[in-house]
Amino acid sequence: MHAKSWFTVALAVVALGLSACAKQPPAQEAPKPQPKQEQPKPKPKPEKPKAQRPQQDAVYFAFDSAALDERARATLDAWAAYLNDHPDVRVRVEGNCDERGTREYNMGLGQRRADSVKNYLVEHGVAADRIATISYGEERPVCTEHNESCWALNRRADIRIQ
Amino acid sequence: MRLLCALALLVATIGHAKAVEFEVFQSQARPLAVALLIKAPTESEEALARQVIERDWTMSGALQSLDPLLFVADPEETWHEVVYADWRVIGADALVLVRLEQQQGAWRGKAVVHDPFQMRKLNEVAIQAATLRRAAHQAADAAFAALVGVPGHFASRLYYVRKTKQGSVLVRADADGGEPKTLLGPFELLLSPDATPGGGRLVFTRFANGKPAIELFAGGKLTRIASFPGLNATPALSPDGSKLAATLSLHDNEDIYLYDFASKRWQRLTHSPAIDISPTWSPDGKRLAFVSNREGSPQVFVMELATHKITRISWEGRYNTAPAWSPRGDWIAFVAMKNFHYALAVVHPDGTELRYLATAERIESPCWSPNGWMIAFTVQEGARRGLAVVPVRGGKVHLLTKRSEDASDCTWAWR
Repeated sequence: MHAKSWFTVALAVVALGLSACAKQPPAQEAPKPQPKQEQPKPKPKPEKPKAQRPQQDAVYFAFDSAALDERARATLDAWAAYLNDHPDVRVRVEGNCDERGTREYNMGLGQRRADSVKNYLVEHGVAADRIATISYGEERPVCTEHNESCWALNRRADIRIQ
Repeated sequence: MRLLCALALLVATIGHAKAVEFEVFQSQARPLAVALLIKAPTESEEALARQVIERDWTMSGALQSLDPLLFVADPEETWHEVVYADWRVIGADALVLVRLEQQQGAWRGKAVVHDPFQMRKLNEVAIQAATLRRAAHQAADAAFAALVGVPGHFASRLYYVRKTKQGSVLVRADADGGEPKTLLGPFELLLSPDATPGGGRLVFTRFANGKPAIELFAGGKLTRIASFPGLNATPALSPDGSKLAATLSLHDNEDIYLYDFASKRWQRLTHSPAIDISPTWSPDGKRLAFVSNREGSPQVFVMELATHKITRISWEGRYNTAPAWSPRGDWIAFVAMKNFHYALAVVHPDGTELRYLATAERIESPCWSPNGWMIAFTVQEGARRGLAVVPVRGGKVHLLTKRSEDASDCTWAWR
């Protein structure tokens, strides 16, 4: 399927960016993943197949913003589907910022980003007590170069299964 | 005081001139010229004491030591009798005599301050300290107090965070960055330390197992104050140490809360849906300044604790954060950012008389000397991070910590 191959390419770009740091930030125009796409192989179970763990763990933000763009919402839709199918799974959302701005304010902004992810998941049916949030401000960058492609990778919220 | 009124042009060379976003305030005040005579057991001890005192005075921007080659009076005779005309003729605004002796492992002595124009002794202070450097700081303080009319900050203590390979440690050093000693740590992460003016109580945010908590360090003991879900950040002790203001996200929103150590109760102070963070107390404990993006971008606001009335005080630029209220109450320091250039700014608590005191590639976390004369702050140039100071009335920026040391997040107390 055309959309599916694009999605795979987008994922590869993200993986490269995360590992190599100097690469481009996540592609902007990746299409929304459909719940079916989270299911590459049909399971032999007779009932409705459960959503698999999304491959994308991070959502990204603009500078000094905690707003979720379309791409972030697509990632979170996949997480909401997965969490709703697996009621025993708990997650921790970790909010992060790029190095610009001031450290104290970035602690608040990182929390705001984590909360923004949590609120979206709660609005999509996940119980609030299954989601812990934390802010690392700008203290835990995944990329330490001083350029926009690196900063874009650091302005993120990571979803981690606990 | 009369001497302070003498004006000359002091061209302050602050930071790098590349940041055109900020016009750095140029101080019109000139330092007083001070003739310094020191007597210590050995020449090398005299030299060290002179070096410490001269650097203290220079960094303050208030006093400047005169070159001893200018002296016409015989130093030996001056110890017995001060001939004021000999000091007036070389342009000394003051004469400071420092005598230091080592007795039973400690340093003792005295500092005497003379005014050659009024032809009288202004001040005489007994010195007692564990090390020669600390004795020298006390002597520097004696002159500062007599000549500037404000208690000196040179013997006070600077607390800051040093990042090491093992983690973050809390360091206590002299006000000039000398004799740094590790007090606590290493910890996973240590942020935003804040001490009472006396230095007896200290709070900070510490991460343990990936989670932040607000902790109190007092009497050699570490006590956990807050470890709520979400944010536990930017604690600030009231000047009397009885209360704590901090940022929590208890209601899925970053707000300022007040904690009372006696009742152990938390009270929510702000209710804006915006990010409210980084509270700092007025010295009378009646107001808090803090950062909020309630009007779109982060700006500094002041809240009256009695009425909860909130007033915005930063109006220039879109990004003003990290406020620190002067212990004298007259200024609020903060970090301003325009087009990703940073400046250290001060403004009166009513929002008037904004001044930029320093610019750098990056500036963070200002803190005040306990006498309100100096502001220390984190500067970053490239990968190097350290602490620098600048006088609040404007002047030259001096680095306090070694370039090799990753120092940040200061708080400054008398002891």
